[in-house]
Amino acid sequence: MMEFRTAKAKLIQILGDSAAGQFRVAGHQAQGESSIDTTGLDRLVRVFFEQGDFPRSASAFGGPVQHEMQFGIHMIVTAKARGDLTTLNDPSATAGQLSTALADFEKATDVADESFDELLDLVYQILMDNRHHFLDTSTLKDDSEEMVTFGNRWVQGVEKDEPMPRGDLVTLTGSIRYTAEVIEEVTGADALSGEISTEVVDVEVQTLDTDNDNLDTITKTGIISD
Amino acid sequence: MTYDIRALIESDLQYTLAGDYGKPIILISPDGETQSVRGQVLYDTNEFDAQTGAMIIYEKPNVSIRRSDLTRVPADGEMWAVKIPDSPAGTEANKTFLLERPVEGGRSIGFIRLYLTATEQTP
Repeated sequence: MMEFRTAKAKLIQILGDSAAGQFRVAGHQAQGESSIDTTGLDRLVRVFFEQGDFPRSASAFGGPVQHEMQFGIHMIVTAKARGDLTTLNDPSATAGQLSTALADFEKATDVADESFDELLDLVYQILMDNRHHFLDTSTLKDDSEEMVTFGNRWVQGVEKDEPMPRGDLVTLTGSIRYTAEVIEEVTGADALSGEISTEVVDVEVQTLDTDNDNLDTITKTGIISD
Repeated sequence: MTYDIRALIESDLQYTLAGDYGKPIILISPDGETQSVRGQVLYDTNEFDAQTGAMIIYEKPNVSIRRSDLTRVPADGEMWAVKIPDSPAGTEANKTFLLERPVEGGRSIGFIRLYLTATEQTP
């Protein structure tokens, strides 16, 4: 399994462990965001692999490849208008009390905007916490040398979308661009049997020497692929 | 003999909107004045999804009220509370929404349609 899949799982775990009930975390990109899907969730964070770059280098052919990963941290909040319903529902309330209660009502778009900013604050602090610098993959080799799988994690930017009325609710979405680097090992395609062969064999090959029309025998080394 | 078609249509609204098919509606204006009327209450709204272009049915209440039943007509941008029954089978206007936008004119002959937005109590 490629390392970017491990990175995604680590991100979901880090966000989930630190959410403390402030938001929920999911690990797939939903097709559109319906307020019905997020009703009762109030705040939802989705993590998904967005794109990756593999810089070409001389050592990369046949060997480990550097992977510059970019993840989408998609944030969704759902909001209602908020205010003093107790007064509005009180049959004995005076016109002045009703007028005041109405005037103090917060519109759903304002509630959603404030909620999104608060969610962004929480998620950014979690992602950039120094304790999660290596996506919780650092280990000590032989109790001395620290080994890490992922490095250079960085929140590149954030975007907030326009609030969208969805039914009688308002949905506000936005996303964080999160990048990190990892080394991907190239293990090759699986054999038809589902197993990767590592049997090394020496094969003698006859080649024609065009200088003297003689057949030369040379030895080549390879791995059985099927 | 001539007929004022628009006047006839508007007169029929007392039966089509405010009659037996109608539901109790309570409106609270920005100055706190309460109006109790009867009108058509629908609990779903059809809208086009901007991303897919498909018609989506949203759970979004809207009410249609005969304009002449109102002493003050909601205008766009004003803060109104609207109470309707909490379900199609309800008989009492007991659930409070806020006015999102009023729509009248064009095909609306003598009635105004109010689109509503959900509310919650401030914690």
